[in-house]
Amino acid sequence: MIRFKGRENVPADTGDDPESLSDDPVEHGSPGIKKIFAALGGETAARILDLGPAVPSNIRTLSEFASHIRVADAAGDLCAPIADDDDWSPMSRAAGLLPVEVGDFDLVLAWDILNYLRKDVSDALVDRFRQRSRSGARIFTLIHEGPTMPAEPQTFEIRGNDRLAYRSSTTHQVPSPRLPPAEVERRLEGFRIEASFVLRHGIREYVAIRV
Amino acid sequence: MWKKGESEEGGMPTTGESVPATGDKKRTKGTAGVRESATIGPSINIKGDVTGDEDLMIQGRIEGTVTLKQHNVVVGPEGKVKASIHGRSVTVEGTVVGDLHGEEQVVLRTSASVEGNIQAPRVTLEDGANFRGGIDMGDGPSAQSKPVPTKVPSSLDEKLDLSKPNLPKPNLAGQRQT
Repeated sequence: MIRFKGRENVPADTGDDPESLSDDPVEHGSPGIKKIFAALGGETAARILDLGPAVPSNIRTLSEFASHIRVADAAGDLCAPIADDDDWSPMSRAAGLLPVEVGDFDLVLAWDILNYLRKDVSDALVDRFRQRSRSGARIFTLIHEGPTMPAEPQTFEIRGNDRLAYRSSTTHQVPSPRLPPAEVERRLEGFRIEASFVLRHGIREYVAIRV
Repeated sequence: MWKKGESEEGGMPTTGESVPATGDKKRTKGTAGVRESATIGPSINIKGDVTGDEDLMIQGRIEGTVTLKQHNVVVGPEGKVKASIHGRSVTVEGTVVGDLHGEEQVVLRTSASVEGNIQAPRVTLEDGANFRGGIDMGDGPSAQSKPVPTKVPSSLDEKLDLSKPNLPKPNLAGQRQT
């Protein structure tokens, strides 16, 4: 049986019919992004950690506020199969995502990755976020509240100042952990839920602030 | 001049010492502003430090450092570099594991794969480029003085320019549920 790095749930079938994948991402309103931008208004030297892959328009938009953007592209590593000689561990991976030399962050864009992580991995990441952020720093995350979710983390593209385009790499679905708000708050220990927004398509966006 | 050293795969000298980039000179058209440049060909392996006073096109492999601060450095589609690269302008079309320092700009083309940190006042990332690492554009006041691009590369479906003077500012209005 294939073991996966920090994943909570794995796809039963990783094969995909390329024909069934659309090139066009689905666009939704994002009050969470709007809130983040409002909070960053006037900022030009923020330090931002993006756990997603490098998306040109995201970096372009974020660079309005940032002096440093770290693109971690964490999903691939967090969700990939474990090799036999792999010394991967939640703590080592969390440390790798937030190395000491890059300084503290003002914003972490976790996107939907928390849905896919085992609790110990999620806890290690958030612990690292706590260590590498100051009071007032924020985390933005999207939690699936419907029964299923895409089998792989999606790619999110910021459009304008209040919309996100969702792009899936697979048509397969897996059961969603359906983390309730209280559990999300527990997992984001050290951060306070500043705002959450329930969206029509079964996603709840969270903006949490470091206390 | 190349310093005497061990050659790999019949290519240029490969030592741990500095190697001036004065190899094969070519006129290269249509590649990231490189006019007359030295070229490190696809069959060449270099281990060491590459320095020089002219533009450089890398189609081979380099492990070490590349320092041409006043000149343009292009890692071509066949180039594989495991080194930090310093140049006036650094353009990547191939693979780089290492940090990129551009005095003026760093450009990652669609075919680029980069793992490392980028430091430049202006960074352009084309759609499809693979990148993992940090992007430093300078802190505070220096970030305000990012140079405005004078020419936008054409034939790109989507490009990113971090100086982007025309981005809409965020709407500061309140939020509500949707």
